[in-house]
Amino acid sequence: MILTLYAEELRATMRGHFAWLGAGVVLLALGGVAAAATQDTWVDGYGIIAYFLVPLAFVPLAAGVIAAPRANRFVESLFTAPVERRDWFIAKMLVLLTLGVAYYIALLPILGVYLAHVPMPLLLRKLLMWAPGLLVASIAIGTLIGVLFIGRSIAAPTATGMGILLAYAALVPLQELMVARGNGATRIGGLTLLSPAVLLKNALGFTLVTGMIPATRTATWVAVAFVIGGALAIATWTFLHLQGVETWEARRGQRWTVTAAVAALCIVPVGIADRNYDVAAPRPNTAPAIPGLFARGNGNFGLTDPGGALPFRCCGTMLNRDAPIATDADTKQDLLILLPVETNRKLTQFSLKLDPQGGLTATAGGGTAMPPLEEHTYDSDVGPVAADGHHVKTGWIARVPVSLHPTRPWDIGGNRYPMTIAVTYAAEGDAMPHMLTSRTAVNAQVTTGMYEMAGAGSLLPIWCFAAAWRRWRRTR
Amino acid sequence: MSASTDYAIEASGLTRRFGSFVAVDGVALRIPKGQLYGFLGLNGAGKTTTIRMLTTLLPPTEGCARLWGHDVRREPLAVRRLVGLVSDETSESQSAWTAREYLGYFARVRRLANPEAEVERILEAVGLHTRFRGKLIGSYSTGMKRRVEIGRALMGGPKVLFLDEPTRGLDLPAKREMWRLLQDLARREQVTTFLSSHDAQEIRTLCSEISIIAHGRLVFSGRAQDLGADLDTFEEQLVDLLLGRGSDRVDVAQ
Repeated sequence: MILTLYAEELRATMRGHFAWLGAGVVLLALGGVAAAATQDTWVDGYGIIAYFLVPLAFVPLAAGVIAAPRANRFVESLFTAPVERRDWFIAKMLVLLTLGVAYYIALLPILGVYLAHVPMPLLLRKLLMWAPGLLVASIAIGTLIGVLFIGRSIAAPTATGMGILLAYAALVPLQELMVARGNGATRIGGLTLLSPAVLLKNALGFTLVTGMIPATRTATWVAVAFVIGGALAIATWTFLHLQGVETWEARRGQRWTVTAAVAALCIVPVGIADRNYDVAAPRPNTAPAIPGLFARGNGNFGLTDPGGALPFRCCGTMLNRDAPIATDADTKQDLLILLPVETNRKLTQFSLKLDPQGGLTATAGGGTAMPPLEEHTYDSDVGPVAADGHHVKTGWIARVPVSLHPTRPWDIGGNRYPMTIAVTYAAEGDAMPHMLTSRTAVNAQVTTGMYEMAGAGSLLPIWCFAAAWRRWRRTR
Repeated sequence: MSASTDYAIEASGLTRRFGSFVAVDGVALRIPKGQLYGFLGLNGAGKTTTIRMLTTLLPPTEGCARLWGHDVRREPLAVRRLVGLVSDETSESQSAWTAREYLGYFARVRRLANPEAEVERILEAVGLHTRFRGKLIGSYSTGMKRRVEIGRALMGGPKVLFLDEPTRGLDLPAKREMWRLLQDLARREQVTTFLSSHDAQEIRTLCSEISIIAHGRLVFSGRAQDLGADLDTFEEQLVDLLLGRGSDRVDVAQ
């Protein structure tokens, strides 16, 4: 009977007015985020939305799914048929778990595109473990909320589920902030352990931003099991023994027991979970560290297409902030060197040395010959700083053709390869040559990533929209 | 009590309290098999609560009830195999389903041998035209929705059909059509029908045996004709009973 009910309830789930449409919209939005995130750090952008925020949305979803048949009186039809309430409850739980698995599977094409280009980074591996845990925890807690609310509307349980979702989600950045500032083990820091998302993150031993994780994890795993198992146990006991089909049948003592059990779900994890944030968190990926990566201005180097003008936003640590080059391909660029020499002085000596790292190869053309020089007039006080400390007003820009070849990308977009650039130059009247050295970054991405991701991210939404269309045509 | 009892429904001392409020107070019923039985009362009198107890939806606080000899409290599954319930709103809840999907769900849950064929047979029996069977229930008229609900309740061949205000919200022609359908089904499907309503005309038209409930207590059980040969007299007697003015003039089942 459980299997029959499971199959029927699963079919029924997708009969909702906006079931297929809603699934399509959610998946399309995720596909859009996945495609857009190829232009930057994909795991930090898309990964956190898809594997953290959306799984938490199963809290209100589960609450609504469990509460709806009582709110709309479907249970009256159901439980005047020869159906055990226990069987139906199990079937409903299985349907929710199936929806969770379906969601996880629906993300596989997008994940496949990523892994076709990039080796699995640690953060993504952790997110892939975090998401199922979050789905199960969300379903357990959402089911409990759905059971506790008996009424003629699903507004109360779904609104409560939304509130819980927001609280659980908000506690994650709060915990990261508190840990980053050394307050993870304080009372307020401990309160963040109310969120199963925080508990699971600590138990899996990773962070999103902050640099420390708990030194021990056993108690955190116990807390996770307590929250998930406790929520399911309370929901099951309440549904089967304290409630009728549509009514509370609990005695006063039983009501107090439920209240105490729900309170324990909140208090126990805070009390027992590990909060000894004493161990350095593992690095989320293999991206090389580049100091001042996002610093803007005061730079002397920029990259542009061959013969192109000085980039609009120039110059900072990142040489090509707005025009990333392709990974695993040779790209010809002009390296523009903003020399701190006024054009009224003739350049007498110039040499360039490139030291690319992290899988980037770079060769400069022109050998030791003087490169083509261009005059450039700067706005007031934004020109490079000359040896005597003044900002150059009209200075020389050297244009050196370079060939760049980034390999072994660690992300589908937003790969910043470090490259140390050293320029030696001298101008008329200089007693000695000057050195201009900077550790810069070359921005690179998998160029086809966006289109492949958009394609992979639109397959299932199109299928969902087609299913919605078919159903609408068939039933209108 | 064995299942070979002559009565489809037997109840004694059936009571339901919600906190300190007594919704149904010591109701006793004995309804023979095959009858179309009327259960009359004002809104809030306890009709729905009684039906919910008889159909296992609500556990009684006190007393006992049996359907075809099966105790509603101890043998809920056996009782559910025997009953069908049409309440006043349920089909509204499945407005995103088609009639075929809705009845198909219950046909499969009841493990009927040929669910698709049974769905079509039942929809035919309740008079839902084929061109509407694949359309969403939300697009149906109130009368069509009731037909679907009655069809759902007939799924699996119930022995006792509970109808809670089945014509509520219907206009007069639809109501009269529904009455004809109920009489026809009671005859064809051989079910005991327990019809709850606050509509005196409906009860008098359809049922020869009735009970009247007021403030949770039965104030009359017997033949409808005993309350008057014509509708006017029937309604006058009924008002007296419902307002507690004539309980000395009628029989109350024990």
